[in-house]
Parts: sequence; structure tokens; C-alpha cells
Amino acid sequence: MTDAKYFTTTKKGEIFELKSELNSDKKEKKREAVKKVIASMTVGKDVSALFPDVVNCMQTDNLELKKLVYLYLMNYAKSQPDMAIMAVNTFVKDCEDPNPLIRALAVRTMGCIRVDKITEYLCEPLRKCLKDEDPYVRKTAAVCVAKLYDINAQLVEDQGFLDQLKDLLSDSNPMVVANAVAALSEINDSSPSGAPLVEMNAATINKLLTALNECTEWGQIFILDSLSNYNPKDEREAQSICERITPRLAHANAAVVLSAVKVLMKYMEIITDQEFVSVLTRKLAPPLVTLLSSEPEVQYVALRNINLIVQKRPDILKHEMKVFFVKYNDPIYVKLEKLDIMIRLASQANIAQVLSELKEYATEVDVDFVRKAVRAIGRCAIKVEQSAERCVATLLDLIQTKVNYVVQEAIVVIKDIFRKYPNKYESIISTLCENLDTLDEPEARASMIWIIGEYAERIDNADELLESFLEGFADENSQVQLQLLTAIVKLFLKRPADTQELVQQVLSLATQDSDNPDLRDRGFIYWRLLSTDPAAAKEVVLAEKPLISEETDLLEPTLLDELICHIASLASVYHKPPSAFVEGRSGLRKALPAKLAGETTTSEAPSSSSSSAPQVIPSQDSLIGDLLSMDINPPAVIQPAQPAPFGGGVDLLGGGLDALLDVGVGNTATAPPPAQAPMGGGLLGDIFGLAPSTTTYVAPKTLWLPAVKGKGLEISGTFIRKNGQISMEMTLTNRAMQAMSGFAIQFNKNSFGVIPAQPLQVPSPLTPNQSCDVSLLLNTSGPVQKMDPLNNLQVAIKNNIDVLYFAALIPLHVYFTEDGQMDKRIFLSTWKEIPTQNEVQYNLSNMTHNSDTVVQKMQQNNVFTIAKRNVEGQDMLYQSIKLTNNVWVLTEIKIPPGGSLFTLSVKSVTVDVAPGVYQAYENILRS
Amino acid sequence: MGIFDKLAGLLGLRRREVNVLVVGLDNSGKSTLLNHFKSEESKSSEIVPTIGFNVEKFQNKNVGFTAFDMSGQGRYRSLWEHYYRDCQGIIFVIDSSDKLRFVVAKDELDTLLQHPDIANRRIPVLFFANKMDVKEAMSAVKISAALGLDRISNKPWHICASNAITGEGLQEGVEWLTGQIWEYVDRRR
Repeated sequence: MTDAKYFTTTKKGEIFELKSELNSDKKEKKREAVKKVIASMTVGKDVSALFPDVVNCMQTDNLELKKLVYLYLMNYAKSQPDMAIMAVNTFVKDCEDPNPLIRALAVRTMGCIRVDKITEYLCEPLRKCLKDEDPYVRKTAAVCVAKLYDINAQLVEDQGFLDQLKDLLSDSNPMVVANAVAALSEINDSSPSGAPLVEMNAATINKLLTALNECTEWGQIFILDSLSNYNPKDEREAQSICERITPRLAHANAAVVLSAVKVLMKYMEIITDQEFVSVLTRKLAPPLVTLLSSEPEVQYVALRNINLIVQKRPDILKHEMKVFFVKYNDPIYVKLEKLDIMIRLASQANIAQVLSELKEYATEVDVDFVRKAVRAIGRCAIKVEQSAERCVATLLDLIQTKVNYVVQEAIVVIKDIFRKYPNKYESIISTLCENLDTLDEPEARASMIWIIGEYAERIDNADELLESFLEGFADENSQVQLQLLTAIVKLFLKRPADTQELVQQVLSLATQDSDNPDLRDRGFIYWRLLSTDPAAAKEVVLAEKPLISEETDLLEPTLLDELICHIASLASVYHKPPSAFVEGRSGLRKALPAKLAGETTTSEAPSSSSSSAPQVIPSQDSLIGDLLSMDINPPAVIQPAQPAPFGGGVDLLGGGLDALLDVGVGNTATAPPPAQAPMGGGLLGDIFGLAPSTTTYVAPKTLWLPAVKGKGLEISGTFIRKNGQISMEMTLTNRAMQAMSGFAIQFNKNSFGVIPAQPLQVPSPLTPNQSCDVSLLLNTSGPVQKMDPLNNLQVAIKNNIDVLYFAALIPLHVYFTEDGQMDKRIFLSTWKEIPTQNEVQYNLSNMTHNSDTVVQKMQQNNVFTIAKRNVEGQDMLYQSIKLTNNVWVLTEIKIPPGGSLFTLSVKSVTVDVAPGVYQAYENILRS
Repeated sequence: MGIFDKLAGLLGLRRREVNVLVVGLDNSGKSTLLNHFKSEESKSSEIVPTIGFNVEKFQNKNVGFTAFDMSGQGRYRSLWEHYYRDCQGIIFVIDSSDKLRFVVAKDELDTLLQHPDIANRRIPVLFFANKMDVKEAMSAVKISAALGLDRISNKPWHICASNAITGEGLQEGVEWLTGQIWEYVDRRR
């Protein structure tokens, strides 16, 4: 035999006995057995092994037995999820039982069985029960939905129970409505997103308000709570809801009253009608006062809530000061809370009453309460300026009582009074000093030391007093030590003559003997300040102090608003938001509704000012527009002179616009003259090309790209130098049958590193048979590669049809820079340095110029005459040229008297440029 | 004593209460079958798949039957065994038109018969070859062959074709069961 028998035999114990009894044929025996099982369950014995046997008893028409079995089920279904399935059919049957009590019982139990597996089977019976003819079943089913939501939220949403629940809000029975509201609020609270799943609307609110008057007190609380979560769409709605809720304030149940107060407090935020608000305010006071006549626990809850209400709306209870006067038999927690509210309500009108009360309290026996009362007197002084004097007098009276803790507390609050009303009540300092010896609490000592330090110049024996404190410096609380250090430094700054020793003593104590880093640091700072710059020390240590604020213990406004929304809940008693003490609720924070009218105007103000800003400061676009409309005039005037057809005129305008845009957007410093733009038809080009003196010789346009090669695009052009810049003037003509667009240009590497300085701007599309003039600024900062001939430039132009290549010869004179004038001696030495093989001679025939006109003409083109000689009747001109690539070219021209054949000698380190130079002379002199 | 009992039984004086277990695959007609025994006013017009179990009571010749109508769905068959111990008779319902699942039915039957709470008891087993009205239904003989009923040696068993909707054949089966239960109970005495 193994030891297993010990375990098997135990089976035949109580459980076994119960099992056989449960299976008995006799109904009475069965019922007794189930009762025994429940009894064992209640005392904590595990009877879960009997699950199938108990469930067998479930299908009975005996209500008592049924209830017992259901009780068992609720307890053990969780531990036997598989077996719980067996109960499903019974639930389904019971939900159709003719007896509404059984139906309700079944649906209630169903909600309590938290087994995932069976919830889906329970949906159908629940749906039936929600539509049951008996209100008792409906109201039970409503709560069951909330329970089910807790188990499986998705299921509830999918099955449409939320809508059914919403329908119940308009039920004829107020209890059903109340339960539906309770269920909905709970579901909304636990919704994972924080957003309410079911929104109330005006119609449902109306139904709730109707049900409110008829249902039980707990139902009323549920309805009021959900009303407080509703945001009325306008003021009128809020007012009408308020009016219908107001009767609830007279209810006997404190919770109903507080819930109604909550709703009213919330809606008052929305209502702007001051008269209505003041009527409500008057109505709110009596119920709150009534709450204070109930038992102390309820009083406390009421007081905590009133504390919030008073902070939000002090005028509600401003005339009810008397009810907050402490009764001798109030529990201490009620007393302290009342005191708090008294201070909040204190005003000039009732301060006399309050003070006399507080003075009474200060003579009570309870130390905590007395302290708080004394403190309250100080706070009254700070809050109500007119009463300060009376408060101080009262405090002095209290100090005269010589009761130790009263004196200490009084000194602490007097320090605060001094901070609020500096230099007003120094006369009482002497009275305070009399009580120095009795002070034993750190806060009181620190306060006293602060007072002495602050008024050191008025206290003759301040040094002695402080010195007496200094004796036990090491034993003092750090708060007192810090205060003492500061006070002595103050004293020293005020009376430096006789306190030097004292200050050195305290500094050494603070810096050398103390191991408190705060104290040490402050000591070192003072020490250094005093030793380096006593004046600065005076400014730092004796600086003006900001006055202390009126109320230091007010709740932060947003927290206060949130707590107002939680009146009549634990949150309003704790004065903490629910999230601070309820775990797992990430629901959204409630907030008071924003004032409808007032808030919107203020929030709109900045946006309207920002939208008007553009009207004041014109944008970049309109600036350019202005420039355009201003500068467009010259071409418009010239336009009639142009012989070109109308289309050409448009082109001209287009070109001008482009150029002007460059001026407006681009670099205004180098501002090319407007002449650059209208390089239109030949005539116009001539007029403008020659007129300005800054423009050098302009070669006539040559055909660069015939239309045959350019796939319909014909390009002719030339290069000019203007205002020290090279530009490429092109005429683009569309000889094709289709419009062209998307023009771009690129140069190959070339001898002088010429590249476009700006993108090619061609008005597109270029319609067939249209031509346009383009001026493209160039610079010489590109990559250099020697070309043959030297002035060759390979150009690629791209448009929507193809990429086109052509070559253009750049006349060398556009490279002649404006600073090409060479010093005479350098010219001479350079001339000699350049070997004679670098000298190239050309003949310029058929010249009609004399030497003067040559000088003048060449000068215009940046060829500078260095010297002029007359040798044997011949004029000899020596000229210098500087190219953009810093190559110097020196020339000599022989002009025979009256002759037409000039001889040009070109000398340069790079001889390659000579032909180009010759060509330039030829062109310029012949133009 | 035995003679007296028998006498009383014959005179209809004696009443017995027995628990019978109604099992079988899902959709074989268990709940419909029991519905037939209900009084006219409490009959439900519509039979839905049973989840868990259902208890029905009916009378036959001084024997009060408490029938535990178990759910036949696959995942709930494991619940049957909780009732084996306390039953005095088993009704096994077979859908005779569902040839495909005869093997499943046989498997469940074997499991039932081998269960320790059943195997050693001489407990009457009544088979209903239900849905005999369906065209492709197999005969009771073929079904008994398919389920291998002839191998059951230690228990009295009986198979009869039935139509639970009209009630055809049910009375015959229950008569047999009543007789067996009398015998079974008397033997145990």
C-alpha cells in the first residue's frame, strides 16, 4: 500500500457527503445541501469541486434554491470556466421565465459571471431582457450592459447594446432611465480613448430631466452626474437645465444636493446673464448651509466641497460667515476646515466678527486648532488690508498671554505681516523682543531673527540679540542658521562700525564649522561680497523684497476647475484630481466649459490682427509689381516708334519685363540700364545700342543657327560689353509649325571661361513665326579651355523639341576691361620685355580717322592710349589693353599724315590674342 | 419484500425517480426528442442548439424521468462525464442520415462506454436511430452494425428507429428503458 490512500480517503469527507446529498431525489434534502454548500463557501472553504452537482440543481422552479445556486455560480464560475458553460442554457431559459423576478435574477447573475467563454452566449438573453416588458428586468439588464462592457468592450459595441442602452434613456420608467444613465456614464468613463462613446443630445437630456423628479435618490445622483458631463450648446439651454435642476437643492440626501450644486457650478460658467447667475448664487447658499447641520462626517465632506466652491465663487457664501463659526463640540477636522473657509470668506465687511471669533479660538485648549487660529489672524491681516492694524493688535494681545505656542505662532505670522506691510508696524518689535527667550521652535526663531535682521537699524541692541542666538549656532536648525547668517550680514551692512567682529564670527562658523553645503555656500558668497565690494553687497542683501501675495494657499486655477467638475466625489474631498489616486483610469480630464461669448472674442483677436498684417506691410510681390508699373513706361512710350507688327510690340514688352524682373529680384547694385532690355527690332537696337556712352562697340547680329539646323529655331545674335559686363544678345525666331518652350542654355568650356550669369529667359511658349530678343548676362568665371579659333564659343540651347548646338565667335573687344590703362613706365618696360617675335603687324587700310578720333574711339572701347609721339610726321599711338583673363596687350599704331593706311603692331606675352585684337581694331575703327 | 414490491409495482402504487442522460452528436435531435415529452403548453416551438445542458422531466409508467439533455457540440462533450456517475440510464441519439459522422458517433460512444463510471455498471443504454423520415436515412440494423453495438456485452441495450419531430418510435424506446430500469433497480437491491 502506498501513502496515496491518505489522499484518496479524504475524498469521502464532507464534500463527498454533500455531493450525495445534492444528488438526492428529495427536494428538501437538496435545498439543505445547497445551503450547506453556500455556508461553507461563505466561510471560505473551497467547495468548487461540487460545481457540476450544484449546477444540476439549477434548473428548478424553486426561487430560493435558484438564488442559492446563482450565488454559488457567481463565486465559482471564475475558477471553473469550463464548467460554467453548463449554466448557459439555464440562463437562457430563465431569461424567458414568466416570473420577472427570475428573469431579472438571471440577467443580474449573468453580468456577474466574468467568464470570457460564455459571454457571447449571454448576448441574446441580454438583448431580450433589455426589451423586457417588466421595468425591473430592464433596469437590471441596463446595469448588466455596463458589466459586460467591462469584460468585453468590443462585444458590447458590436452587438449594438450601446444603442439599446441609449434607447432606455427614453424609457417610461424613471428607474430604468436612471440605471441606463449610470451604465452609460460608467461605460463612458472606462472608454479606452477617453472620449465618450455615447454623446448626450438635447433630446435625451430633456428625458433625463423629466425622469429626475421621479426616480430614487441614487437615480437622481446618476442623472445629475451625467448632466454635469453634458455641455449645453447654448446659454438658453444651460439656463433651462439649471432651472429644472434647482428644486434638487432642497433634497434631503446630501449627495443629491452636492451633485446638483456641481451641475449648477459648471453651467454657471457658461451663463453670461449676470442676473440669472446672481439668482442662482442666492439659491445655492441655503442648501450648502443646511448640509452643515448634519452629522460631522457629512459636514466634513460638505466643507471640503464648500472650500472649492468658495475659491471659485466667493460671493455664494459671503453673507453666511456665521455658519462657519466653530462650535465647541465640532470634531477637530471640521474645526480646521471651517477655519480655512472663514479666512477665505473674510472681507472688510465681516472682519470684525471674524477677528473676535479667531481671538476666542486662540484661547482654546486644542494646540493644533489654536495654532491654526493664530495663523488665520495673520492671514486675515494680509488679506484685508484695512483690518491689518486690528489684526496686529489682536496678535499683540495674544502675545501678552505668554502662552508659549501662541507666542511662537504669532511671531511667525507677524513676520508675514511685516513682509506684506513693510515699515508700518515696527513699533511692536520691542514687544516681540521681550519674548525672545520663550521661542524654541525653529520656525519661530527663524522668523524672529529675520525680523531683527530686517529692522536692525531700529533695534538698538540688535547686535546683542543676534549674538545671543549665535552662541548656540551649531545646535540650531539649518533654517535658523541660514536666517541668522543673513540677519547678521544685514546688521553689519547697516551698522558696520560695531559689528565687524560679529560678522566675522558668523562667517567663520558658517564656512568652517558647518557641514551643511547650503549654509557654507551662502557664507562664502557673503564673505566674498563683503570683501570685494561692500556697496554691491548692500545692493544684494538689502534689496527691495517683493511683497508677499495675498493668498498663498489657493489651489491652482486649472486644478480648481477640474475639481469643481468632481464635486460630490472623493476627488473634491482629497482636493486631488481622480487620476492622482485612482489607478488604471486614463479617462480624459474634466474641465469647466469655456465661456461661450467671452472666450471666443479674445481668442479671435490675435488671429484677426495677424490677418490684417499683410495689408499694412506690402508683400514682395506687390513691390515687384510697383517696380514693374513704374519702369514699364519707357518701352511703352517707345512702342509707337517701332515699325514691327503688333506681336513684336508684345515681345518687346515681354523682354522688358524679364529684364526689369532681373532688376527687381536680382542684384540692384550693378543695375543694368533699361537700355539693355529693349534690344528689339533693328531700328530700336540701333537707337539704344549707340546712345549710352557706357556701351562699347556692338557688332551686328550674325546668324548663329539657321532654322534648318535648329529644327525650326533660328538664332542670330551678338556679344556686347556694357557697364563692365559682357552680355549675349540673341534673337530667337520660331520658324517651325509648333510652339516652343522650355528654353535653357549651356556653354562649352572656352578660352576666356565665359559662362551665363543667369538662366536663359525666353518668354514661352514661342509661337510659330514669333521672334523674341533675349539678353543674357555672362561672366568669365567659368572653366577655361583654349579654343581654336581663340574666340570660339560652343553653345547648346535646349527647348521642348531638342538640344541644339551651334558655335559663335565672340569679338575680343568685349573682354577689354575698364582698368586697362597702364602706367607709362611700366608700359615702356613691358614693351621692352616682350620679345620681338611676339610682335605681330597688321595693316589697317582705308582709314578715315586722324589720331585724335582714333584715341577717342578706342578709349570708348577700353583701349587706353598711353603715349602719343610724332616721328617724322607720322603719329605714333601707344595703347594698352587688359583682357578679362588679366592678359595685357600693348599696341602701337602708325598713322601717316593724311594717309588711309594705318600700321598696327600688337605685342603681348600670349601672341594668340593678336588676331583678335586686330579684328577688334578693325571693327571699332570702321564702325 | 421483493414480491411485495413487484405487486405494488404492478398495481401502479410505487413511483421511482431516475436520472437519464441524453447524449449524442450535435444536431442529432436530443432537445427535439425531449421536447416531445413535454406537456403541450410548455413545448417550445423552436429548438436552438443547447449550450451547457438542459433538464427535462417526464413520466412513463410510474417512473419519473429526469433527463439531462447535454450539449452535443464537440467542445462541450467533455462535460458529459460529470453526469455519468449519477445517471441510471443513457439515451444515445444518432442522426441516421449523417453517415459521414458515424465514426465520430462511434468514437464518442466508445469513450462513453469505457469511462470508469460507466464501464462496470450494468446500465441500460437506449439508442435512437433518429431522423428515420429523411430519405437517405440508414436502417436501425445497419446503424447498429456501423456502431458495433453487438460488442456491448455487459449492458442491456436496444436500438429503435425514431422521428423526434412526430414522436414516432419514441414511445417504444422509452417503454423498453422503463422496463430495463425496473430490472436494473431491482437487481441492485
